[in-house]
Amino acid sequence: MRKLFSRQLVEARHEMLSIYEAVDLTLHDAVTAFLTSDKKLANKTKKATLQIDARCANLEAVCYNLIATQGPVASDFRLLQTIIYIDFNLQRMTDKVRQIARAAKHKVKADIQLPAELNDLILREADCVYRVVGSSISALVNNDMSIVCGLSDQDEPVHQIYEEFFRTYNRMSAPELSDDSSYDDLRRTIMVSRYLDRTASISIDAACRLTFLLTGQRLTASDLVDIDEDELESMRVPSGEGVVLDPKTDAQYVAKLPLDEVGEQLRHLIESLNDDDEVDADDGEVVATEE
Amino acid sequence: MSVYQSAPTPESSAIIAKDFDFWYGDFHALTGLDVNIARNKITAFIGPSGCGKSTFLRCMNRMNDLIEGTHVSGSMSLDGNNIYAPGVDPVDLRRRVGMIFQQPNPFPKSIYENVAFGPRLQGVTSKSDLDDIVEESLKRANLWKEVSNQLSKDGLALSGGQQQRLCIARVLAVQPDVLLMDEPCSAIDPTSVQKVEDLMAELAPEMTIIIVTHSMQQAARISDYTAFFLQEVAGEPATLIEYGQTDAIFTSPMDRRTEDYITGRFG
Repeated sequence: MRKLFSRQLVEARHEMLSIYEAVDLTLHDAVTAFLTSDKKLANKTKKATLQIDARCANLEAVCYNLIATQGPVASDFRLLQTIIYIDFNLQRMTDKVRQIARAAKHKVKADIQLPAELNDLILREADCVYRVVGSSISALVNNDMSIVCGLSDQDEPVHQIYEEFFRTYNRMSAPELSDDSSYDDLRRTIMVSRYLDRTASISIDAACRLTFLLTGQRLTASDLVDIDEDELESMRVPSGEGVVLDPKTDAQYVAKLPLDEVGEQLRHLIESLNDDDEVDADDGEVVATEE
Repeated sequence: MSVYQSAPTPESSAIIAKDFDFWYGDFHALTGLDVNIARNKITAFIGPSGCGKSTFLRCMNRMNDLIEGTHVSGSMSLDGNNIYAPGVDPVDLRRRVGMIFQQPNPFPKSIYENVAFGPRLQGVTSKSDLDDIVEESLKRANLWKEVSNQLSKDGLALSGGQQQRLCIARVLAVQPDVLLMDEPCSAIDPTSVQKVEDLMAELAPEMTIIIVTHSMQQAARISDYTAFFLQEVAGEPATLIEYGQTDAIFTSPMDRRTEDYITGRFG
């Protein structure tokens, strides 16, 4: 039973990472749909978020089922608690992604031309959010608490751009917001900046749960500001196979992430996976030639 | 070297073992035990078979004295008094430190006589006093409602779970300070297990309870503190690996061996 349970824990962890990857990729699509006014992509993104919701619901059920049937303790229990918590936050992030996709659809429907300055700010804010999400995933794959400690700093530019976005919006001159209707339409689209800001915050919340997984202590992002990395490392407690996996195995489940948005370690892991694939493909060609 | 996670302080402890070792003849069974058992709390001893949990439990009321050739070193005190000091009466100690075993072992007597046995030995002769003690003890053991109209029935005719609660009532009748329970639920059905666990929770505020159990769920459910014992090498003495608040032990054990044992990776 222990072997089966261990396999179930590992599968749950992989599914969590895979959903995280899906949320990240869908976020890219939602932002692209918004910036390029691509209604088709917005529709596709919205459908993708519904599929993610279903996966999240299933993962939650799997975790509660394991708790009910296996009576987990220690690192097994911490892992399941962590997965449930992150899964919940992934659902919240997915909801924000869906809101962005909806805003994109509305933008096309109402034929809103977002001022270039605001468009640029959304693009910049989204770039920062991608990095926060990429770092969050990197922390989870590598069990790296030092990345978690740095997430608040990474979130700072997101929040600054978000504030800049609203300052810019408020300073806009009347001719650019010619009538009430376009004013309201525009107001609905500018919430995208808020959704992006929230997505980054939720991702940080989710990643911070890594400290509970590895130390048993519930530490928030604000707690981590006052804790030295070495001190955090010294708080680590022993963990089982569900927690300490071969990161290379984990990396397979997030391999589609843009490499410039993830941590260095994870980037190397994904690159090595790609290299392995190329070697396999080369081997395949040789065999084909010989045949 | 044992790991301690918020273990009880000496001031809050009923039993204190210091540098305690135990031998069965030449065989060194336990070594280097430093354990404070919290007063009026439930403490669980866990560990693989043969790791010395029951041996250590039996040291607490000197039950091992009945085995020829056993000896101890270090100290073990109950409420500040060394229980291995010369002059300590083991029989009186066992009245203060009662014990429940894996297999219910009622005397082949009536339910009433089972419970009245201890008080009679202590000199209680008044019928009304004995009646009160029997009723009170059976009530505290959550058995009164089931047997109040059949007190003359043979104790051995009760179900396994009822027999175990009868044994608990028999111990409670002599008003012990400490209750030692050596796998008390391993031979009874789940419903009876729940009743015994409820009973332990009810008794704990006024009694120090120590339970040896192989059920991790039971230890996690009912105990305030948990101690993990292990004999790492066959033939070598067992020792305490980790001890502390149950929540901490079962959520984030600090020793790899505890983590591996409670999650079922060995043992």
